[in-house]
Amino acid sequence: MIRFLLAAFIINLLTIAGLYVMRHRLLRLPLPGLWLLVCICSVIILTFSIAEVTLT
Amino acid sequence: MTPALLWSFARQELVDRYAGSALGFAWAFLQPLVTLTIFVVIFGQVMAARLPGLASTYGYSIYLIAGMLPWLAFANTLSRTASVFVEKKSILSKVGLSLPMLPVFIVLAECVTLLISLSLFLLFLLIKGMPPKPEFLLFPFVFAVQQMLALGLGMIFAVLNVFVRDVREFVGILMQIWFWMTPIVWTSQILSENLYYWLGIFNPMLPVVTAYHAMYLPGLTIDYSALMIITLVSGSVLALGYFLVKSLEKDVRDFL
Repeated sequence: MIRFLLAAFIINLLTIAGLYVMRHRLLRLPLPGLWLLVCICSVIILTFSIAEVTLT
Repeated sequence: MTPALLWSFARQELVDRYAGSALGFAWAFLQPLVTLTIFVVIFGQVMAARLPGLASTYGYSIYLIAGMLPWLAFANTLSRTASVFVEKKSILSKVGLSLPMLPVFIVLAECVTLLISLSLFLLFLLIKGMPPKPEFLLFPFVFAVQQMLALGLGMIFAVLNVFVRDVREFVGILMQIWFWMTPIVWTSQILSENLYYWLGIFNPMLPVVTAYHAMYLPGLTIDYSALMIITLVSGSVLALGYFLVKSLEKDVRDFL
């Protein structure tokens, strides 16, 4: 459980921080909403795969 | 559309729901409290319903509530989003709000409603000495997947509802059928393995609700690969809904 908490916390925090820092560059890309959605889905899938390894 | 404006819409939605009542926002706590009490008393004590393989008095009540609370958030988000453009047409005709971003306030309002019900449910579990399993840490992620699907489908229906008003009634019927196709009231053991497999392929809410059950009840496991596929499906449906609203934005505004 601790391993999952640590890994998920680091990955999610890094993604949020990365999106915050890159927000101006992201907004200049074509279809910024789509890139944001891709980021969110990737992080969720990554979190599920971490949970599969650490929680089961 | 700024996050502050979206939050203001969500707050107004919650305020409007209990406007004029003497108890006001206290109803937001009273309603789920009564629902949870009914489920626990009727199914746990009066009917003495038991889950297969689980001897606990409250096993079935927990199974029911664990699936029901997120389902209500899903169904409310989808049905409210489906009629959001028609309901907000007076604002949309005066202010140039972003159409694809507008329904997000419904997701926020439903998150607040769910948080209230969920906190009461967790309090009940802790009092009864049945805390959630470590898998409960995944709740926000599973809930995000479910709400992405509800928002995406809702946006598709919202565009259709502007041109064909029957869509709103259709969504009501669809949600009823969908509810009974999902293992919220019934358990997977009553179906044959083959039928359950096919239901899982056509019903994206099945692995989601099963994951909620596995967060509270011993002996149940989360199907992670199914959840990952549903995440991709939800993301694609949301992207489709977004592009549909974006491409038909001018027609929707003209029609409204």
